[in-house]
Amino acid sequence: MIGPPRRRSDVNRPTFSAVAEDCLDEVYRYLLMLTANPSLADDLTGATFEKAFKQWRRYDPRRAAPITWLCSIARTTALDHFRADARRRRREERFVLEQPEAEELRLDGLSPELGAAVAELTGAEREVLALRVVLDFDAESAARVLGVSRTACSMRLARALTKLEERMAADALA
Amino acid sequence: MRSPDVTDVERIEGLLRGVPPETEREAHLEGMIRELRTASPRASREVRERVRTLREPEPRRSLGWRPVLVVVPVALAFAGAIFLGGGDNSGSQEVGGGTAATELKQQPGSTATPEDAAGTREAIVGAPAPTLSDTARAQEWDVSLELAVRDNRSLSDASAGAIRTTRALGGFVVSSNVTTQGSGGRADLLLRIPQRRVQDAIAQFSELGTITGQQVMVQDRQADLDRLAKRIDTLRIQLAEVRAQLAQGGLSEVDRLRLELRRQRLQGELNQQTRQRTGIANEVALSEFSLTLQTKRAAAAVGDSRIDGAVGDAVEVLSVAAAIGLFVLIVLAPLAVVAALLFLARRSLRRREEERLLEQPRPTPTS
Repeated sequence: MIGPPRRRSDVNRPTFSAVAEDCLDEVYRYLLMLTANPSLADDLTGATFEKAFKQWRRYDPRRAAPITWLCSIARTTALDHFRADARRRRREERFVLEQPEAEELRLDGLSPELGAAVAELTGAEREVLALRVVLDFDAESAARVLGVSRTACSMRLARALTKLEERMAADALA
Repeated sequence: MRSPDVTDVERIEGLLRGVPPETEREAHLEGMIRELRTASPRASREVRERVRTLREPEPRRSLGWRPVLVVVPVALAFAGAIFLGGGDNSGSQEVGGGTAATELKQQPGSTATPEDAAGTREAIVGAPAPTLSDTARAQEWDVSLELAVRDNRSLSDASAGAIRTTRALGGFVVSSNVTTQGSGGRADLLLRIPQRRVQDAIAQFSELGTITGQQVMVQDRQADLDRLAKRIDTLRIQLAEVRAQLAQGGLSEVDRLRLELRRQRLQGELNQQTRQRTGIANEVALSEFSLTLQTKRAAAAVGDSRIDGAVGDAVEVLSVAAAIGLFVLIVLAPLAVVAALLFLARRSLRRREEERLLEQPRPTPTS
């Protein structure tokens, strides 16, 4: 696996196919956490790699690890999708169409309680969990993907975990 | 929901790095982190196949922004050189009013070695303004030659040789100033050489030492002479006509006086034009020749001062480049500030929009 962060001095340029093979599941996990929707995460993962394929010449291994670069593209792809989706919903609301039901969030290996608690977090909170916890990015790489400062990234992570903990506690009491 | 304090942030960072939990709450958090990390959903087979169909892209060939570091300074230096070069040219060339001046300069260094002297002398003899050296035309020559000699004895011999050569060529010495100090010395000779022998003079003076500098300025005066000759002819004809009228009898006193005054005016102008033509002819007939002889030690000192001059020129080029840069900066700064503000505003709006999009718990799935 090509893990996060990594040495800036590592200038060996991997091949696109090797990067795609190594990072595919990590990008999928990131998008699954961000969207909380497996089929959407599938679509966005494919779109992310197609976009990465087109931009591969611009990738500089000295500036970021492949997974960091791919997660940045995945984030942009997902946000573009959210924007388009928001516009579509606004159009539909004008015609008083009902919202479709959201799919259940399924994360293999997670307990149903934790899965439910994760699903209740906001997209931004799930995103920071995906980067820092699931993909094990360091604070600097995660902050770069999110476009925020390192401190803001750490604060967002702490807030997400605290919220997750509180949801779990509330579910346990219920 | 309680807000995380600084301790929480630090402890959570520690837990992520694998620091063992110290409290029950931390143990709970650590359990959640472990569970999230062990969850390993995988992309579907369809996506995997979709990604595998992408072929390997061509390697990057772009050089990026680095060439800018080379191109911009070179362009600035080039612009500065053109700017300065244009300023110098304006003083050395003159075109218009029927006159043209050409200046040839030879900088020291290229002919500083005695081995090169013979070849250089040949080049110099042929070099000065070949297109203007037509002896059929009236040309004003102004030659300056700097030579280096071995020592004070050679300096004395060369000075005497230069004077002999001048006289042999039909010229004369206007001024001579020979100074020696210790083992170094310098002689400045101002000579007048008949124009038709200028090239002989350059060739013979070049043999007196090693050439360290040369400047030949040739100015064509033929057009001036032609204009004066035409005017003199006209004046002579007019004068002859007036004289003929005066010689006729039967003129009233008033007419006679008017013709006499006109004759005097024409005669005065004729004299002036004739003097002017004679002056030009004298200037053309004898070229001014400035010959500087100096021992090599003195020449080296001058060379040092020329290095200083080159450094000064370089500083001047840089200062011009800096001035151009400053001008561009002043012109572009307001635009750059506006562009930066627009960029920041756009980025801020985009971030706010992204945050709003991600604040929703569950994005609506695609239909």
